[in-house]
Amino acid sequence: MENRFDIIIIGGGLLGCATAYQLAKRKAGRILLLDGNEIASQASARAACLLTRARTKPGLMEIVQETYDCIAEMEDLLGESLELQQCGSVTIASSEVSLKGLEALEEAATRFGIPNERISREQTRKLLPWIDAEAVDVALYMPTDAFIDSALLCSGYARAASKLGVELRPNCKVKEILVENGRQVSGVRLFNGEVLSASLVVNAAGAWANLLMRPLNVGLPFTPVRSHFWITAIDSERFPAGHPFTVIPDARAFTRSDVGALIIGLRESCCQAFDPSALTERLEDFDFNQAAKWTVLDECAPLLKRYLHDIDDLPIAHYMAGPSCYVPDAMFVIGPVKRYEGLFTVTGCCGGGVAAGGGMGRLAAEMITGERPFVSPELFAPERFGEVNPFSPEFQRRCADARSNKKGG
Amino acid sequence: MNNDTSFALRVLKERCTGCGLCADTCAYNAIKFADVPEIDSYACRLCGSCVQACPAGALQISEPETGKTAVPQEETKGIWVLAEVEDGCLAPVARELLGKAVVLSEKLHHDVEAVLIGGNVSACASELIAYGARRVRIVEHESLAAFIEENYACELVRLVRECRPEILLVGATPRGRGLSARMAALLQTGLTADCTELDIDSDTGLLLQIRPAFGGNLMATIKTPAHRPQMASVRPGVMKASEPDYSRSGEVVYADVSKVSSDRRIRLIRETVEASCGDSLENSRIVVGIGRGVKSLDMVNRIREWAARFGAVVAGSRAAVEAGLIDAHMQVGQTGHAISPDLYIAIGISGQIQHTAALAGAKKIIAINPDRTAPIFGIADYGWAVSAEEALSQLTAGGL
Amino acid sequence: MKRYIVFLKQVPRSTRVEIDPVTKTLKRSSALTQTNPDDLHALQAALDLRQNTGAEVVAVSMGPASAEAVLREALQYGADRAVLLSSPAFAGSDTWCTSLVLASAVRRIGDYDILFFGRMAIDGDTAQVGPEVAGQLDIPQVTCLSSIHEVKGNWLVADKKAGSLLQRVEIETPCAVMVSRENGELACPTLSGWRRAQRQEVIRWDEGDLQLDGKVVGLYASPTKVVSTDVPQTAKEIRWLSSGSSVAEIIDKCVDSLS
Repeated sequence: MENRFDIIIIGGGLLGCATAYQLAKRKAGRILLLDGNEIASQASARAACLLTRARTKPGLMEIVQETYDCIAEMEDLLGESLELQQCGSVTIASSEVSLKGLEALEEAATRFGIPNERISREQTRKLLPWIDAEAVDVALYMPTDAFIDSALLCSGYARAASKLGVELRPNCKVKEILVENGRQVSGVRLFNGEVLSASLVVNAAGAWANLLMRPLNVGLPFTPVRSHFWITAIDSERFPAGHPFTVIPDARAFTRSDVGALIIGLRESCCQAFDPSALTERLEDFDFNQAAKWTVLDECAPLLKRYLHDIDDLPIAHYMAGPSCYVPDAMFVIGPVKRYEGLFTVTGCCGGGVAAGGGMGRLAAEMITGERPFVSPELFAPERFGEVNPFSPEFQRRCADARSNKKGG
Repeated sequence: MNNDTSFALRVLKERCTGCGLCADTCAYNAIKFADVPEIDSYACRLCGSCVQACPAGALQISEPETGKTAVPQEETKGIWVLAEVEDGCLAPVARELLGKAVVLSEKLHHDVEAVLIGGNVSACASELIAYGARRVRIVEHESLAAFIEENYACELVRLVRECRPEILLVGATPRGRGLSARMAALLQTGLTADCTELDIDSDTGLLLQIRPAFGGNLMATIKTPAHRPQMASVRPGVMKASEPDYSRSGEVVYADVSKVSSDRRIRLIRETVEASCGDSLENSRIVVGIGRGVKSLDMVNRIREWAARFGAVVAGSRAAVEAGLIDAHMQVGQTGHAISPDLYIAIGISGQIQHTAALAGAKKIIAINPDRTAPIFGIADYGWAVSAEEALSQLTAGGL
Repeated sequence: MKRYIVFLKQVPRSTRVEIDPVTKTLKRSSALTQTNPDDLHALQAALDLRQNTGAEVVAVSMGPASAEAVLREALQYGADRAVLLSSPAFAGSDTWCTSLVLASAVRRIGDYDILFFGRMAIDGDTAQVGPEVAGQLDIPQVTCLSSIHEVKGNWLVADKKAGSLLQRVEIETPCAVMVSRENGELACPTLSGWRRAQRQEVIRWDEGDLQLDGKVVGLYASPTKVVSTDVPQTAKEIRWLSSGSSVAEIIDKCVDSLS
């Protein structure tokens, strides 16, 4: 009976681990979580780690709040800190369009009870010693926003789940999802030939999820799109540890402190999608196009220059790229795959896996256990675009555009 | 440039089954696969991996059409060991090389000889004989008292040209490496660095030089068919010295040093004994890394004291930096330093990829973490599943 | 004017290769490449010295067309010129043939003062090419550079390591120095450096440009021949320890081997 489970979750990233934790909390049965690599080692170890609370899209503030709640719960359960850094955030507007966005965010935050205040240039300068504040028309400060090491958060979900009885098997690569009678999911087969059975399988394999769905003729409506950030050389005076992160829509940028250096996230005007079948087994081996390190910085620097005048001559110590799974409407993909009994998915992070993971896992767990969902599941239904082919360049383009047109950083 | 017929690596299209193994195998991305492999001759390094991988024998590295592998014309004799001396003492690697040379001589029937070079080195000759040298050649001159590679290379090359040894073995020590490479260039012969095994090919009598390739994933066997001497270096500690026998007799030959002169292009100003370990992350041979499992600054200080006893530098994971346990400049990880010490001791580090990616060059890793399933154990050579507190109390209690 | 020549090699990003368990052949896990880390430190040493001497820094790489990326990086860091030595005739060169090609390039560039090499390449680990080029050109070498002190006319004053000794030497130029990661920190690249590098030219030379007979380099001409490659038998397995004294033993052993 060792290889029989009630639920098998494929993917030990943020979404898989959070779902495992939420299911275990609900005593959903015997649960196994599998990952082809180590837990928390792939896209979830490459995130920018911002936990932005205020959102204008429906359901998202509830989802992010759930993540914050999970962190507090897990710290209790594990008896250790997950090192949430409550540094606050500053959203910056320097144009009419971005001011409108800022006002909407302000309204949403106030409605949801998230502390926020507009701050003067003087205060902005104080909070962000590196910024050229003259370029800032309006700055909205939210002191309770935080960031967290995404790999630590992810392994926190995994360790909490394990403590509640979930079995974790890292370095176990799933070859296929097994189906009986063309309809009922019966388990998975590993690359080493082993068969593990379960009547419910959750595909949380992130950028690789569609490769597992392909033989089942299911296309999940997302594709991996390159996200990236740059880290400057250390300059602790200019970039003090723990200073607020910023979102600068006019520069298609965000920043956050990183132990005395500045992390700068930038979004190119035309984002790069990847065909999932081109992915390597481990992201360390994947070519995100190394040239982008400089070509994208070159494209985006003129926009950022108003706020960071010496961006051209700023020493760049590191560059980190990773796949964010983008959906054409930039909303997540959570719920049952209707064509099969017992097949669920939690994917399509749209670059928000750190902030939204806990809530996404909760929604998935509630749907699996038949509880009343805490946010409306229709928003995230896997079939909401009808049939899609995630392997077609046209569809991949649509997903990339979802990132290109993103409002925030 | 594709499937260029003049290029040494050729594709026999009629044999190709289209399996694509060759393209997967190529570490240099030099094979594009359409229906048959296409070789990018600019990218190919002719390493031969694809030839070995091909199950159908469809890839061949052809021998040159003219000038078949030349066999050295002049007669050679002797398996030589260059015996390094430091501070008047024989370097241990010299004894180890002699042990191997004796084994080789049983197959090749050449005498084992050792070469001593320096200002005052003849005292080591009897030890070399005890460890297996039939003959010790001594190049002794006051202008060779200081180790100046150019001078040593010049004299040794002169001696090799005169005596024409078949094989020359050198210790891959900090001194031996640069010296042997310079000698190989001057002698116009091949040199295989860091061999882990040496043998004699029973058919050809050639020295088989076996060394790790591709980051140690493969062992390459290398020959030097047409150039003499066949030179190879071996790291200290790899070969085994045999038991010394001080009753053995051997010949001691002093080389003619009448022509010894020191290279005027190099002036030695002073020599000092260097402290064995530096204080920076990159040049430290032993690094202690701390992670979140180390809970307090007090523990960090105790770890520092402990590490100082054996000259190790204390560094940390990103989490340790974030927690204020260690300075950001001492961060090991993808967003910090990549390091390659001889020994890395990870205390309370779980082993997130962010961290382990920067440890690829570490030769040995000891991981200490209470969680036996922590990923750090996946890359460690030694694991100890205890908490940082427990580990520290045991480690600081001991003599070390 | 003084001229420094820096040699840079393109190497795989990861030297980790997997062995296919069935066919026992090598499986490339990644086609990603990088500039050999020691070589960047060699470049840094040349650029640092240039600040005092105003020398011209020429970056040279030998390799496939893709090795141009390495030279662009060198230009971004501040090299003045870049030369790529590329030809199918060079394929399969061992260290001796490689140093012959590099020495020929040095002769063609001419009028040089100091050659800067990284100590070793992470994909070969031989640490031979620098000293072999010095040998081929018959110029003095600083095999293990500790630090460059100053340049006095045609003399370079430097500290070098020779085993456990640190030697202060004056060495006449032209000469070769071998630099490693131990020689300090690299400056971080900047966007403006990248932009400048995009406008610069990378010169390409083959055996003809170096006046080399194609038959004296490459696979056939190399003194050493790889006759076979095998999968090592032992897989790495962790050994579990149960006490602090076993940790101390391993440390002792390591300290002994270092001293």
